[in-house]
This record gives sequence, structure tokens and C-alpha cells, in this order.
Amino acid sequence: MAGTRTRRGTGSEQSRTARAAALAEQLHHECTLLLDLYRKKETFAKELTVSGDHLVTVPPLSSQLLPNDMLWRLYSALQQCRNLLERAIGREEVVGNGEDRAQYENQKKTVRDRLGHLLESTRLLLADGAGTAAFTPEPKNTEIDGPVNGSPFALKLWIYRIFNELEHWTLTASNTLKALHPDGATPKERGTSGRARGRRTRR
Amino acid sequence: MFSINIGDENFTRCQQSKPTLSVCHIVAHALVLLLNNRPVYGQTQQLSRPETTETDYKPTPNHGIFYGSNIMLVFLLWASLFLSSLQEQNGQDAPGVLLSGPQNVSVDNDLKDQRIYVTWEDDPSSSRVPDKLIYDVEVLLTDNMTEVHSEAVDVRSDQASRKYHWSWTSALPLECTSHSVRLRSRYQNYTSQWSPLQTITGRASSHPQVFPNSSVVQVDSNITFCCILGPGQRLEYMKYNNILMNTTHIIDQSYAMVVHMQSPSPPSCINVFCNSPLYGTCVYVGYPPGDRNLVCETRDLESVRCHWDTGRATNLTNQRKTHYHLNGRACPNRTVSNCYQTVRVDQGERNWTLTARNPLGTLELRDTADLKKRVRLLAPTEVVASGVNASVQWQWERQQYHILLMVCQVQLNHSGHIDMRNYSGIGLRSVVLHGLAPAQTYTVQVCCGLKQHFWKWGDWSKGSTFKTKEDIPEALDVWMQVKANQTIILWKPLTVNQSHGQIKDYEVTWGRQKTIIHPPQNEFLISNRSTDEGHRVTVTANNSAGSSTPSIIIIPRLPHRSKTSMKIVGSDGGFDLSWSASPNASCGYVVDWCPTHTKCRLEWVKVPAGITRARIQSASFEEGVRYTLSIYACTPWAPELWERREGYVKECLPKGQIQRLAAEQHGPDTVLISWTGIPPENQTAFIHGYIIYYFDTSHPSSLRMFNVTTDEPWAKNLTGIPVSSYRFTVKALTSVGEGGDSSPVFLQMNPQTDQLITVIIISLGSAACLLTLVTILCYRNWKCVKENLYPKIPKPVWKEEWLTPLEGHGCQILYVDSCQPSEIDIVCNRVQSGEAVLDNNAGKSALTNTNSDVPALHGHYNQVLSKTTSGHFTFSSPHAMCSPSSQLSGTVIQNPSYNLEVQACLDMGQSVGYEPDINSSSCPNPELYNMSYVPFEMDSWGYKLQCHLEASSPLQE
Repeated sequence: MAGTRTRRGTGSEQSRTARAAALAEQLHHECTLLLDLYRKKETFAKELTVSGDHLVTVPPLSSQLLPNDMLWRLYSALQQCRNLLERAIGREEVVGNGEDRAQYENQKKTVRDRLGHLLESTRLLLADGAGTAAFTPEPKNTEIDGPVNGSPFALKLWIYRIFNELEHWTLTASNTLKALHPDGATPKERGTSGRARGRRTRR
Repeated sequence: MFSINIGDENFTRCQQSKPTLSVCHIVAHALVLLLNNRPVYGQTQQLSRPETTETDYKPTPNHGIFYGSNIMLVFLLWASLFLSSLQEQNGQDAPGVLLSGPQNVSVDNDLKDQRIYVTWEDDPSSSRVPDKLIYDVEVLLTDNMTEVHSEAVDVRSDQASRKYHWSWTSALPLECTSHSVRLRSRYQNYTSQWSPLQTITGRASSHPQVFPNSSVVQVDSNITFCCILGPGQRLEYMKYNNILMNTTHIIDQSYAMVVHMQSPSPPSCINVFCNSPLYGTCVYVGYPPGDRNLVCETRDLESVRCHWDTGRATNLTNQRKTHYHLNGRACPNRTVSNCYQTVRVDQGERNWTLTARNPLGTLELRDTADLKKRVRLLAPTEVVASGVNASVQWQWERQQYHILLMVCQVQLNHSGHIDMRNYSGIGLRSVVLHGLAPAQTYTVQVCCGLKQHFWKWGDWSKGSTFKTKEDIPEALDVWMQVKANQTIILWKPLTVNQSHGQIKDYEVTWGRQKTIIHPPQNEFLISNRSTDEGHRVTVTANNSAGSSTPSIIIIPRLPHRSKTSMKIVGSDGGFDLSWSASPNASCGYVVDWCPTHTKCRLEWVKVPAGITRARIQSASFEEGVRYTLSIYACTPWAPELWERREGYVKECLPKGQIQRLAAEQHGPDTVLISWTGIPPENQTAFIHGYIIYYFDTSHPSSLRMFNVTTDEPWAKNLTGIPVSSYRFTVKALTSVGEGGDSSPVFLQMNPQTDQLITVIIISLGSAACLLTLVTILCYRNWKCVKENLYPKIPKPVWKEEWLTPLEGHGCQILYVDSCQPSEIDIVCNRVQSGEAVLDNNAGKSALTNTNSDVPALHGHYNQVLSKTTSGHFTFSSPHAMCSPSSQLSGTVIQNPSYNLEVQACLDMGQSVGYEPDINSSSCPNPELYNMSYVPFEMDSWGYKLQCHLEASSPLQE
């Protein structure tokens, strides 16, 4: 990674970091809500956990990394999340009506929009801006395109995995950005925390 | 050549050794039947019940029952030998059957529909079969060769040498395990050998997989799910919609469960899990198409438009929703209940077929119609209406309509009132409307249909609004309201339907005077009625079209005579009024009304001649308000007041309060209750009387009531009321109940004795005051009084010895010279000790009052008036009195005051009952008289006299 500049930046940078951290925390809350709505819609048990290859593939975020490298990896992961979310929205059947459906659809839109804002905020924090390409998923990972056999059940699981990825990476973004902020806390401490997710080991 | 060994191989060999039906076949077949006991014609094998616990999935076995009795065998063998001999004798007539079995058998499947397709070609030997050939088809579970279905398929002889297709739907998904199919041909009792097994391989997986995948099933059906586990895996659970289900072991790593679909699935399918939520499938549950009532028609004479009712919702969406085809052509994708296709309409009567298809079924609806007789016209366009000549024009978008004989409906909407008119003509495009009201706004709409072969009315056009021309107003309804010397000419404002346009002004003419009144004013005050011309008033209304017909009213020369009002009771918010006929009512009657006690503008209604009743209704009527209704007779001259009524539309409980309630005690048991009634303007009902309620405050339950009619004054004496404390209230009695409660008053009644004492005290006080006054006056004018009443008496001359007191006595007894029975005077002198004893014998002088009025007391001389130790005088009886004598020795005493003292003493003696017998010369009965006088002060004399008279017995002397 090209970013070698230290993160002891100017006050405006710190402010941007704090804002991005707050945005990530808010987005994580929205993703958690979206996941709950999806579980309810598809009658998935809350304890349902997904396994297998991860849809988002970035090198692991290590505390030994330089801040800019860490931001690059985070940015790459969020970008993959956005692509997956767009695919999920495109493939998911819009069925049903009523209040629950409207709430779910609104939540999807909220997450999509806010994820775009977080991506832009994260990009602005990078030392070399948008000039460097982000990590891309492995080409051999065919799961990112979703099930090919048209099975509704497989499609359900695939979307569920995407929402799980979203929830995980927004939590990671929130924690990482908080750590990068000198104060170590966002201006608006929300007190919410992500679910315990000890099952994952990010590559 | 013939082998008794039982088995397919030998059986086959036997078949191949002789191309005709042989004894070998029969015997072998019979032995197979008997020993193997396997049915030739099986039935579809059903899965065991899913509710049972996990068990091996085994079709019902065909247990062999050996009937191998030697008798049967021998019989069959002999029978076959007999047949064989017959065949050999008639070999040329027999069909010469040699069944080679189905050829080119192929098996295919549709995993989605769980369907097995079998194709084969005819048995070559079937050409020699005169009747139908039968093929036996068997479906087996490959792993254990368990039969799951068998079926006999008829093939007619005329279909010989053709390719046959057969299919079967498996309840168990074909992925769950491998299935095999075999066939054979059969003619009468001859069968071919089974075709080689054709196998459909089941699915194997490294992780749990659930089948069928994404199936669509009908509500109220059963569906079998199977879970195929990976090698070495164990089944933990199968769940349907998160509900744990019972499973059945099919074979090896395959398990099944059967679910009854009770209700439609949500738009998102229902999940089925095996071992983990990550492994599963989902199922859509819905209904097949339920459309009905297909109707086809044409709108534009260029296309057909069919519509139908969708019926019950299928609950299937997206790719699974119902797709429609009309006469084989697909309807647009979003078709729900109608389908449109361009066609030629001049093809006469034809069939229109709609096919509705979804994954659960296909439905066909048919309609037969000649589209030329099924024309529903489109809506007219550009509808324009003109108020000048009240005509309506419109256009047709389709040129074909111009040659059609059509009938059109024109709907006129005027303030919510709908008027429908029908017109007909070829290619109708305009109509003229008649009978429209002037200056009114109408909205017109048009729709048309074919007059010949009328099918349905077409669509309504959009509405077009227009306004008709104005016309002169209708005549005004005029009346009058007389107030003292003034008369108000009133008229009702014209409604929109009456004014025929906007009223510009009103013209009032009386005599030679004319006045213009502008709306909204609709009355005119005439104060001077002195001239004759002034009694006739004319009113007209004017709009842009002209003036209305004049309305005339004649004001009476003299005020109406007052009439006694009769009570009337309203009903349903009005009055049902009736009156006696008036001989003068040549042009009917006028009834006007107004609140009795408040100012108002009159309202009125005119009643035609000959009718003497009317229902009086007004929006201004209020409940609880008294109205006066006047009935006038309409005459050629001025109206005459005929009758008058007063009443309430609806009586209400009095809202006003009875005022000034007072209670006053009059006499020992009488209370006067007085009050003032509810003012007439506050009365909300006719008051029929008052009720006085009272009770003893010490006994609140002792409530009593007393009715007072309105004929009585607003005061009432209540008698017979015991002395106590009372609470009084008064209520007004109306036809709707009691009301107008007064404020309560309390009265504490006093006993009569108290009053008597009061009177006595007052009287005594008054007397004391009077006496005091007299005393004061007498004191101040004492001299005058004294001179007038007691003229001065010269002082008597006393001799000293006469006045010398006796020894030992403070009292002297005057002796009379001649002791004749006479009156004696006793003079008690005040002594130092305050006591004196008068002894008639103690002195020689006698005190005689010649002028004394004291009656003569007859007694004896020498009687001693002894002094008691108590200081009382004691008279010894008989009387120790001296009679007054004119022959007294010495000086004559003339001081009347002395006489007065004696007199006083005597009076006292009389007052205690001592009455001397003055007529008796002898002594009275020697009866003891004890006279005791309590000394009292004689203010006027300044000392106390205490007398004690004792009638002593002579023995005491």
C-alpha cells in the first residue's frame, strides 16, 4: 500500500475520522436492523449462522498495519459489501405487501445509501484518495454472483450471508475508525455494540 | 426342453424354444404364480405414514403363499397337456402368439415434476394378436428392488407397431433414491419376458440436501420431502416451517417426511431444513387458477377484448403466477382479468378460449360470440353543451361508429338531481335538450350503445357543464307584519329555481309611491297608513330578463281584533294545525307564526281555499319556545285574523327557576308559602300547576307534597303542620314533568305559648310604662292633685294627756263613754320597739271617726287586744271593737287617714275570710278565728303592719 503517512493528521482529518466512525456505527445499527427484518421475513432462526467461504475477501486487518493500509483494507471490504448488496437487491424477489415489506424495503434502501456515504467518507480518509484500486474479491469465488440453479432457498441463504457480511464489516469499520481517532471514541458515543461473532476468521 | 425348474431363465428359454403359445408357458407361468406369489398387476405403492417414527422405508411386501398342493399342480399339468393337444389339432386357427416383449424401451424423468416417462415400441409379435395387447409396467426402488408402482397399459390392436409413451408421477422425489422401470407385454394369459431394468439414479451428496427443490404444491395436498445425507452423516432433524417433523428412513442415507399443506404459503416460500438451517429447500403452497366467467366483446370493431373474473387468489407470485393465453396467443405479461387482441370482427360467431396456467394447473374458459353483436361503444369525446339552445354535441374517435345505428343516454345532473334522456340515430353526435330550467347549471354526460343487437351501454363521456339562460322571476310570496302604527311588508326570497337568474332588486309600490329595495333586504316598512291608497301594496322582483308578476297585499284599515289564543301541542318538530272554516276566506288562509315572547320576523305559509288544516314546519322552530300562530282568512280585501294558537313545538322541562320562595308561620300549625312564578319568556312548557314539597328537617324521609293549581294565587297556606323545622321547595308541573325548582327555604316553627307570653310581657311592660308615666305626672303635679283630691285639713288639736302613752303599752285604747255596741277604731301607734298593743279598755278616750264608712262592727267592749310575744296583735273574741259614737267624750277626730288605716286593717281581716256578723247582736259562735297577717310595708305610711288576729276562746279569758 502506498499510504505511509502517519495518522497524526490535522484537526480536520481527525474530525473526518470521527464523523466516519460515527457514520460506521450508525450504519452498523442499520445493518443489524436489516438483518433482523430479513430473519423475520424469511423465518430464519436468530441463531442461524452461515459458514463456508466468505463473500468479502480482504487480507486480515492487523493492528500491526499502518493506519492507511488498514483503511485501504476496510475500504476494499466495504466496497465489496456494496457490490454484494446491489446484487442482492437485484436478485431478490419483491414479493408480498403490507407494512412489514415496506419496512424491510426502506431499511434496505437506507443501508445502501448510508453505505455509500461511509465509503465516500472512508475514501476521503485515505492518504492517496481514490487513485488506488481497492482489493477485489477472488475471481474464483463464484458465490459472489449468487446461486446459479435458481433455488429460492439458496438465494435466501445467499442474501442472508450478504447481510451478515454487511453487519460484520460495518462493525469492523466502526471499531477501526474509532481506533484511528485520537480520542478513541466517536463524538456521539452510542453505546451499541455488535453481536458476538467469534466464528469468523477473516482472511 | 421343458423344465420344471422355476425361474425367469428357464421361463425365457421356454419361450424362445417355441414361437407359439405352449404348454410350457402355461405351466411355467402357473408355477411362477404359485411359488413366487408375486402379483402380475400391482397397484401404486404408497409411502408409509409420515407420522410414524423413523423406520425403514419398505413397500408392502408381497409375501408368497405357497399353494403348491400337488393337486393343483397335477391339474395344471393335465390341463396344459389337454390344451396342447387341442392346439396341435387346430394349429392353423390359433393366433400363433409369440410375445417378444416391448422394444427399445427408454426411460426419462422430470425431476421438477417428479415424473418418469417411459417410451417403447410395439412388440413385433403384436401384429399377430387379434385383440388388444397389454403392457405391464413396473417401477422399482433400485437398491432393494422393491416395487413402488405397477400398471397394466392397454394397447389397441389398430395402434400396433407404434411407439408408446407412458408416464408416472412419483410421490417421492426422484432424487431421493434410484428408481428402475421394466415392462413386458401380455396377451391373454401369455406374457413376454421383462425388459431390462431402466434406472433413474438418485442424488448423492457430501452434505445434507433436501428434495424436492423449490416445489410448488397445492393447498390441502401432501408432499414428501426427503433429505439425502452425506456419507457417514446421521439425520438429526427435519423441520418444516421451523416445526420438527417425524421422518421415515427410505434407504441408506435417504430420509423422508410427509407434510400436509394446510394453508397457502406467504409470498416468500416456506423453509424446510435438514440437520441445519443451512441445508434445506423451500416450498410454495397455493391454488391452481380459479378464473371464471369469460366474456368477449369488441370496443372498436377492430379487436376483441375478453375479460373474466379471477376467482380465488392463487397465492403464487412472480414466475409462479398465472399466465393467460387467448385462443393460443399469449396475453400481455401483466394480464390479470382481461386480454386484448386485434382480430377481424366480421367472422361471425366463433369460440374464444382463454387458457389460464400456473404451476399447479391449467384452466380453460370458453365464450362463443359474434363480435358484431358484442359491441360496447367507447365513450363519446369532446362533449360540448350550449346554454343558448341547450344542445349537446360530441365526437366519436372511431370512424366505424358513424354508420352504426345507436341509442344514446344523456344524463343531466342539476344540483344532484339526475335526469336521464334517451336519443337514437345513426352515428349520433348531437341532441337538443328541452325543458331545462332557466339560469341553472347542468352537467351533461353521454354514453351510447347499438340500437340493433344491443349488447351493453358503452362508457360514459366526461362531464360537460353549462348554464341555461335567465328568465323573469316567479311572483313573490308577500305578507305583512303589523306593529302598532307600522306595517312591515315581507316577502320570501326567491330560490334559485324561482328567481330564474340573479335578482337585481325589488320594487315596492303603494299608493303613488314607489321604492326600490335591493337584495338581500326582503322587507319594507310602511309607517303612514292614513291614505286609502296606502292600504294596497304591490311588490315585484326584477332580474336581467324582466320583472316578476306583481304580488299584492292589502293592509287592513283597522288593527286586527285580538283573539283568544288556544293551546296547541306540536309534534315531530312542527304543528299540525287545523281551524274552523271562515266564510270570508275566499282565497284561502294564511298562517303566520312567531315566538310569543321574543321579537322576530314573521314566517308564514299560504293555504289554499277549502283547506282548514296545515302542517306548520320551520327550520327556525326551537324546542321549549312558545310560538303564537295566527290564522288569517284571505279575502278580496285585507286579510282577517280568524283564529290564534299558542304552543310549543316540543315542551321541555322548565329551565327558569321559581323565584322568591318564602315560608312564614301563621298560627300554631299554619305556614304561608309564597313565591313568584317563572316568567313567561322563560317558560319552556305550559305550567299546569305547582307542587310544594316540604319535609321535617329532623326526618328527611317525611317528604310531603302539596299541589297548587295555576288558578290559585302564588301563595298557599299549609295547615295542620306540627311545630318543627321544615324545608320547603316549589316545583312547576308541566306535561313533561316537574321543573323550575325553587331554592329551598327553611322555617323553624315556634309554639303558640311563647307568643302568649310575649303578648303578656308586652302588655305588662306597657302598663308599667303607663303607670310610671302617671306617677311622674302626679308627682310633678302633686300639689294640684292634692288640692283637688285631698283639700287641706286643719291639723287636729291634741291634748297632751291624750297623747301620753300608757305604761307598758305602746297602744292606747280609746274608751267610749257609753259602751254601746258601736264601731271602734284601733289606732296603732308606732312605738320604739316597733310594736304597739291597742287595748280598748286601756284608755278612757275613744277615737271615733264619725265620717267613717267602715261598716259597723258589733262586738263587746272590754275585750283585750293582747300583745303576743311575737308582736302580733291578738284579738280576743268576741270582737274587741268599739262602735263609732257621736257621743264621744273629748275631741272629735276628723282625720280620715286614720279611718283609712283601720279600714286597711279591716280589709285585711276580710281578705282572710273573717266576716263578722254585723247583724247579730249576740256574739258570734265562739269559734276561734286566727288571723295572721304577714307584715308588709305600706309605703304611703312608712311602717309595717303585721296583724295577727286570733279568735280566742272565752275559756282563754
